[in-house]
Amino acid sequence: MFDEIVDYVRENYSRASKIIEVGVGSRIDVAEKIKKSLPLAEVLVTDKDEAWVRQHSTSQIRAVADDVRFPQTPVYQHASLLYSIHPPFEIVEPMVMLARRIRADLLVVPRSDEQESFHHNEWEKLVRNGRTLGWLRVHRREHLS
Amino acid sequence: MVSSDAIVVWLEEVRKDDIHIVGGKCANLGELTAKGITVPPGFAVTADAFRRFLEETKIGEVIQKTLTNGEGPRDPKQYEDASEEIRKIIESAPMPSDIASEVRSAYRDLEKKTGNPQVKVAVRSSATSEDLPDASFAGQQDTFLNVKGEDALVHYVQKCWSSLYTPRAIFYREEKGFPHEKVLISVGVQKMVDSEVSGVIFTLDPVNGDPSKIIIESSWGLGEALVAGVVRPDRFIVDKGTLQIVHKEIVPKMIEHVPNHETGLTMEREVSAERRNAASLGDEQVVELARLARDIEDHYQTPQDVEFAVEKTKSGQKVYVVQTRPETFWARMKTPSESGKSPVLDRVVVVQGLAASPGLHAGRAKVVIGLQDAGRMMKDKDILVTRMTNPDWVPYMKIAGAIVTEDGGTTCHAAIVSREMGIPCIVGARNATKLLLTGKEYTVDAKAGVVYQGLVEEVLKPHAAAAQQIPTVIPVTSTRIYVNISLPELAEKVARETHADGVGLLRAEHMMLSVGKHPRLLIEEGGGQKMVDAFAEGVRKVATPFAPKPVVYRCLDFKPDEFLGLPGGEKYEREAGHVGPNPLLGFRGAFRYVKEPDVFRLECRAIRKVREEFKLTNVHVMLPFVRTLEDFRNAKKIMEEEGLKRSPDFKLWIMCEVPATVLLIDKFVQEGIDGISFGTNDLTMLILGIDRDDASIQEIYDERNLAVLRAMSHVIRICSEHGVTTSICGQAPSNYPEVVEFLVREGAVSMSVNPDKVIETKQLVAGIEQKLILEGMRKMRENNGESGALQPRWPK
Repeated sequence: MFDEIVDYVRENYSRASKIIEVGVGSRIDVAEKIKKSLPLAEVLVTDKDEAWVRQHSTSQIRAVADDVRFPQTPVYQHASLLYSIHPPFEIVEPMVMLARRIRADLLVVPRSDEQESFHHNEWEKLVRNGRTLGWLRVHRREHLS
Repeated sequence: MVSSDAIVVWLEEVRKDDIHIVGGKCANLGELTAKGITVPPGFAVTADAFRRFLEETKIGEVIQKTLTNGEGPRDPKQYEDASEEIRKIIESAPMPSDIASEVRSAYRDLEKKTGNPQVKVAVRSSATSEDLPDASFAGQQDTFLNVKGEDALVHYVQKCWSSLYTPRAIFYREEKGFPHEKVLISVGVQKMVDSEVSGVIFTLDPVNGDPSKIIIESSWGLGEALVAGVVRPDRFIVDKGTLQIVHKEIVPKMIEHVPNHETGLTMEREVSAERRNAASLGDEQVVELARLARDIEDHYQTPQDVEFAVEKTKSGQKVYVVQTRPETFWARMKTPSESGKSPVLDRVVVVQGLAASPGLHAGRAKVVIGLQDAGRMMKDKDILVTRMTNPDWVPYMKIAGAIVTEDGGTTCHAAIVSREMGIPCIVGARNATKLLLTGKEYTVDAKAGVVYQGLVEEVLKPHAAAAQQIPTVIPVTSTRIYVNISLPELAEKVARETHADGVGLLRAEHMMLSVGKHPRLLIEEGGGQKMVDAFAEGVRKVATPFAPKPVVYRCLDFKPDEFLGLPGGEKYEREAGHVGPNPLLGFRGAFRYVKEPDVFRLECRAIRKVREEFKLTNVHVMLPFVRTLEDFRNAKKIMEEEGLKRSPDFKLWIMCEVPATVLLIDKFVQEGIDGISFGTNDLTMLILGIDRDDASIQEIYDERNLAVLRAMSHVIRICSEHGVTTSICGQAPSNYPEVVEFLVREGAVSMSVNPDKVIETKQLVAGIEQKLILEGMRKMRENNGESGALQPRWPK
């Protein structure tokens, strides 16, 4: 599952120096697959819940305890892409603010009943194989693929 | 200024102009020392020392050769191989004796200075070029802590040098075309602070850029845990003007990083029980740190991120500033234009409009009507004044300090793009292109939507800007405006800030994600009670701040594929055959509750616990995706068996999102419901026959389609006749104001929107309700044979 996100990131962010999954929760497999696809990029994951972060401490991916509503900026600096899978919509706006501040792109894959919260004028719909994959906001000016 | 061929320089000798000799970090620390701020004592091994090391050992040539081996694009393995080889060479080459001797001698002096033989030091790289965004180049593992003794120091200085050649750093420099040989680093050596507490201070709120606040984050132990983000810190907000603490958030701190005296490294350990929930800083310390940060900001004349450490000493505690960096993002947004002109004291408003992207800026106006003039006229930080922008204007918008347009509303091109870019913007400013003059100076206050003549200093001052914010008036409406909530932790804030009339949709899905397992796996492992407790706690967090206003809990409505992310998901969804070709139409909603009653019963028990144990009787239940009367009847029966029986103070709602519930709404009313809530996303999908996830047919997906509106109208009418409440929790009211007007006119009792839309919707609904009252009065007059026009009536 979510292999299409991995493919998309690999194809579009192959020159990225840092990629961050925000609100990783219980699963770290997507981040691990991205790291495997892009070994030169630093891939890290964050969650406000320290228990999840500790659970991921055995992974090769660095896991960081952080509440994106009050982000610890140094953790995110120099990221090319922030992405989040099924985030509660309350943290979408803080993610937008953060991505804008650090000039990173933001990819959000919402749950189906929160799809329509993404205002079409502000977000770019990301379609893969004819299906909606998620929503993107581009803040970087340079090409990373 | 220090000599550029020095090998070692002490921090107190260094100033900010020495960045090319000692790098940015060390130059900054020297500047702070000169200002009288306590930094851990130490010295820098200069960039020139590294250059001489490369030259005298002839390693530079070897490195160049290694990096130019092979042609064409390299694969990651080649970067790794080159990095490994170069680092080995740098770390194993003997350091030229005069350099080593000076480094050793400086270390011995540091021992004397600190009165601490074998003093432990931190060894860090310090990038010398301002073009280089430090970490990306120098690598992120280039700090070595608890280094002890001369031999170890020499070794770690070389390790720091070699960290300039990590695979990522080599890759990045090649990508950007920076010559490797031009990139040099200095190495900072400082006494290790045995921190009892450490943290970061921001001299403006990094979340919203508020410059009137100082934010302090602190935690127990060494700072690396905080900077690396492995702990959540305590958080203090201090008013920059009065230095009063205005907010405190003390969180449980489970782990801390401390020096490991046996290995000389650092280690992670659990925080002792008595300190875990205690504040890591006292109020007096918070104020002292805020004062210190304010001084540093004053010195640099720009907002700062300051890292600090508090060390326990024999006489008490000592505060060290470990590092300070300029905050660039918000500083860039709020800096007024530089001008030698004296400020204007009286405010003269030239034009007014809608505040589309908040912020303040003062500068020269450039009135640009046609795009062909923009390139010639627009200079960096000018105020762009025009009728309206389109995508062709973006290059000029990027360099503008502020944007003012004559046309447009808050969703026009100029508004959206300026918000995206963080540029202050006012739209709909009538006659702006006539009233504002090219070359004249103005102050744009895009919080208040006003352009003042000249440079109005009192507006540009942070405190004045904060003080003049106009409080939002929240009107009372007959139509109740509820809020949708997904994250219980935020409910208290949402309740306080939005003044919503209740929660029209409390989603359960994120509570399940927080539990972190598929519910069937939980049950299999005997953890059903864990789910009951977690859900009850989540609902309590929402119901408490809203009480006695109603909170409508919607039972779990994961689509089968959305469960797959949870441990157990593959087994209980895919392998169980629930993940069909279109999960939106699959094993979900009320049907699922009947087929898997054991999971549904856990949810019911959680709600019962909230209502009976926590005495929060403002919590009600809504069943999603109800397809048939039979499903509804069976789900309701299970609820009753679990003690959730409809009563005057316990309401049962259903989501109206399947055409069958629309067509049979009278039957559902007879069956026994207290309310319905339209789920416009699924209702639109099913009425129009559109797969919401199929991108090829999205252009006809529209909640305002007449068929959808007719369906809602029918349901509202039937429900109104039977005293059943009607609401909506889909996105339509948030996205389309005309849908709000439609619902108010049709008589919907309430609508539930996202938190950021509550106040806006209240204001919109208030306007519509007033319009309806006026229309009703006109109609009454017309029926009475009077003119429909409403004339003022004067007392006779």
